Amino acid sequence: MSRYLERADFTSRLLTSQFEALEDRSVSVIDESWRRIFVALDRTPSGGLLGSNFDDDDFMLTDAFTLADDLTFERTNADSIRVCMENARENARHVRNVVGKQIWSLLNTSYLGLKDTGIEDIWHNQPRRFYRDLGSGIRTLFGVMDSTMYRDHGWYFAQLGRFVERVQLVASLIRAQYEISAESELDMASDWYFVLQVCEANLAYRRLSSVAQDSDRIADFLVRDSRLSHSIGYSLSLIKQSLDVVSEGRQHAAVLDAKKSVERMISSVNGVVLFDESVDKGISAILNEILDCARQLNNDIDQGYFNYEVSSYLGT
Amino acid sequence: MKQKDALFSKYEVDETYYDEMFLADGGVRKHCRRLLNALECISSDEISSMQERAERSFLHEGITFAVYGEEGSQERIIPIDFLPRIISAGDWEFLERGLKQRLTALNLFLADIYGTRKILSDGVIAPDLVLGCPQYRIEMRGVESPHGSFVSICGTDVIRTNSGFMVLEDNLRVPSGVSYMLANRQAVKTSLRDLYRKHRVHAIESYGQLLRETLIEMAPPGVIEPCIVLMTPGVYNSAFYEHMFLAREMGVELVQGNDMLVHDGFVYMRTTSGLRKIDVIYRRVDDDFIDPLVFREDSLLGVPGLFHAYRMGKVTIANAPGTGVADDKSVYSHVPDMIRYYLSEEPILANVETYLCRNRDDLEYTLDNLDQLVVKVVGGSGGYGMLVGPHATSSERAAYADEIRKDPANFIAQPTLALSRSPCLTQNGAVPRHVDLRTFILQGSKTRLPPGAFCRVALKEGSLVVNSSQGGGGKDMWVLSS
Repeated sequence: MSRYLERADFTSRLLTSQFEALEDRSVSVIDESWRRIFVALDRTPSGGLLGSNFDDDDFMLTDAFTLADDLTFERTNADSIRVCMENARENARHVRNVVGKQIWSLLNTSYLGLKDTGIEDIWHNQPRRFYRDLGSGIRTLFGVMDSTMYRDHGWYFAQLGRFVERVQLVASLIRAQYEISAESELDMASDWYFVLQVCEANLAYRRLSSVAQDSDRIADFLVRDSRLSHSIGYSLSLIKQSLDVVSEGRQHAAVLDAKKSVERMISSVNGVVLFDESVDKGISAILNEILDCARQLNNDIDQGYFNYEVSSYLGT
Repeated sequence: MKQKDALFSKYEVDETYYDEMFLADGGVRKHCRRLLNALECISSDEISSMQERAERSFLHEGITFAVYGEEGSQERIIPIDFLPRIISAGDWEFLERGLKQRLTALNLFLADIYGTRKILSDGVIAPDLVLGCPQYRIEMRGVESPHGSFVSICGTDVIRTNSGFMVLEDNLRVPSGVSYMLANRQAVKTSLRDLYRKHRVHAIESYGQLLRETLIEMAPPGVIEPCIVLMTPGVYNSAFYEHMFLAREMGVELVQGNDMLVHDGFVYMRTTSGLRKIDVIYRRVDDDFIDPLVFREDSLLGVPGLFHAYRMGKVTIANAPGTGVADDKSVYSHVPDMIRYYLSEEPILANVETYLCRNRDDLEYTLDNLDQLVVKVVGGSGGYGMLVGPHATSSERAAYADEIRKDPANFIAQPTLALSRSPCLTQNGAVPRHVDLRTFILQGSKTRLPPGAFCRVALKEGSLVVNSSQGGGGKDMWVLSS
C-alpha cells in the first residue's frame, strides 16, 4: 500500500512542479522537463518519444494535456496516479482488519474523488492546485499512519515499501536530471531547482549552501544528507531499521540477502565522492548500483517474508 | 386507514399488516411514544440530511457489499433508513427464548444426523429428506464438535405478522449482515444521540467480543489460548467488508486459503515471522470450497487437507461443514418437530406454514395457488430464484410452474406473508414499509444472543423483498432495556 502511495505522491510532486514551470518557462525548457519526468519514471508517453515544435505554444499545451493525462489518469499506465491509488486501496482492503478506520477513510475518499475524474475536469481549473492538493492528501494519510499505526510488522513493512520506493524514485530522478542535462543543448543545469523542489529540499539546500545552484553539490545533498527526509541516505537508514526489526531471529536465505542488499546500498552512498574529475561517471555508477540493489531488495523481501518456501520452516 | 400528523401526515396504517409503531386504531404503541414525540420535533429535512451524511460516510468508510451483474461488480452501500424500529423488552425476551431454543434443537439435530441418526430411525423426519439433501455431507459422519455445537453462528430471519413473530428461515452456513447491524447503530446513535440515550437501548457493540468468546470455547480440547483466524474468500467476495470488520473487532487474522497449509495434521498460516499454528477457523467460505481434496476439487479458495485436520480434531471449523442440511428449506418445516423430539418442549417461535412440493398434495396445492404463494428453491438464498406469486405475471407463473413440475423436490411454497411494516423516511415524509429481522445467535459452551438485529427493510412501496441484493435496505433496531 505505502509504496503505491509514495509513487502517487512523487508523481503529484513532479506534476505540481511541472505545472508551475508551464506558467513561465520557455517551451523548449518545458519540453526537456517533460522528458526528464518521463525518463525518471521510465515511461514512454503513449504518443511515442517526446519532441515538440518549439515555435508553437498551442502545440505544447496540447502536448502537456496528453502527457499529464498519461501520468495521472491513464488506466493502462501501471504507474499513473489513478492506478497507484487504486492499487493502494486494493492493498489496504486486503489488510483492512489491521488498518485504522481513519487511514482507510482518507485513502478511500481520495480514491473515490479521483476515480471518476478526468484530465478535462482539472485542466481548466488550476491543474497545479489539483496536484498540490492530491499530494497534500497523501501526505496527510502518511501522517495519520505515522501517528496511529501499531508498531508491529505491518508498520515496518509499510515503512520498507515506502522508503524502498523513495530510494528508487529519487535515484531515478537524479539520474534522469544528469542524463537530460548531458544530452540537452539547453542549460538544464539550472533546472536542478526542479529536482530540489520535487524532493522537498529547496529550503534546506538554500539554508545549507551559500553557493549558487551546483549540480554535484545538489546531487550529493540528495543522495547523502541523512537529515533530509527525501534523501537516499535518510531512506536507507529507515529501511535498515525496519528490516532489522522484521528479520529478528530469521535465518532464511532471502532475508539474509535482503540485509546484504541494504548494506551494499549504504556502502555505496557513504562512498560517494562527488568533487573530483570523474564526477558524472561516479554518480551514475552509484545510482545504478543503488537502483539494482533496490530491485533485488524488493525480490528478497517478497521471497523472504511473503512467498517463502514453507519447507524451510517445517524441516522437510 | 387512519391519517397521522406532521412527519407522519401521509402515513397510513393498514390493518392487514402489523405496524411496528402504530396500533390498528391509529394510536401509538406504548414503547414508541417517546420516539414519535421526539421525531415530531425534527423536520424531515433534518432527518434526510442525517441519512445522506450517514450513507456518504458508509461509502467513504467502505461499508459496502459487492453486487455482481453483467457489467462486472459494483460496490454498493446498503441504504439506511434513519427511523429506528423499536422492540419492547418483553418482545425481545420472548424472541430470545425462542431463538435459543431453536438453535439448541438444530445443533442436537446436526449431532444426531451425523451420529446415530436416531431422529430418522424414529421416523420423525423422512430419511430421504435429510440424506438426499445436497447439503448433507457424508464426510461428516462420526464427526463430533466441541460442546456439540456444529452451528456456532446462526442468523435466523424473523418476521412479525398480526399473528405474532415467526421464523422465516435459519441461516446456518455463513450468515452475514451483522456488520451492517453495527454500522447502522453507530450512524443512528451518533446522529440521534440524545434520543438514543433517553430510550435506554441495549448496547450491541460487544458483538465482536461475544463472537471471540464463542470461538475460544470452540477450540479443540486442551488448547488454552487458541489462535483464531477468519477465513475469507477474498476482497472480491460480496461480504468482504464484513469479514474484515469482524476480524478487526475480534482482533484476529484475516486469512485466505492460500495463506494456510496443513502439515502433520495441523493447520498453519504463513506470517511474516514464519508459520503459526491455527486452532479455530471462523470460515466465511462455503463448504464446497474449503478443501479441494474432499469437496470441489477445482476450488482455489480452500486448503488441501483442511478437512482431514478437522476430522482429526486438530482444528475447529466454525460453522462446521454440513450444517446447510439443517437450513435447507424442506428440512426447515421440521424444526418444530426437532424441538419437540430433542427438548420435549413446544416451540416458542412458530414456523411459517410450508408446502413441500416433493409431497403430491402439497405440489397440487402449490400449482393451483401459485398466484397466492411465495415459491422458493430449497437450497436458495439471497432472494434469488424465488417467485412472489401475487406480484408475478401470469406468464412468469406459468414458466415457474414448468420448473416446479420438472423437479418438485427442489421447491417449497409458503403463503404470501403479511410482513409487518415500520415507518421509513421518504421524500414524502414517513411511510410504511415491510421489515424483517436477522438475528444473530452464538453457541459455544453457552448460547449468547446480542440484544439487537439487522432490521432489513423493503424500500420499494409494496415490496416484500428485503434482501440487500434485491434493493432492500437496513434500519437500526432498538431493544429497550425496560
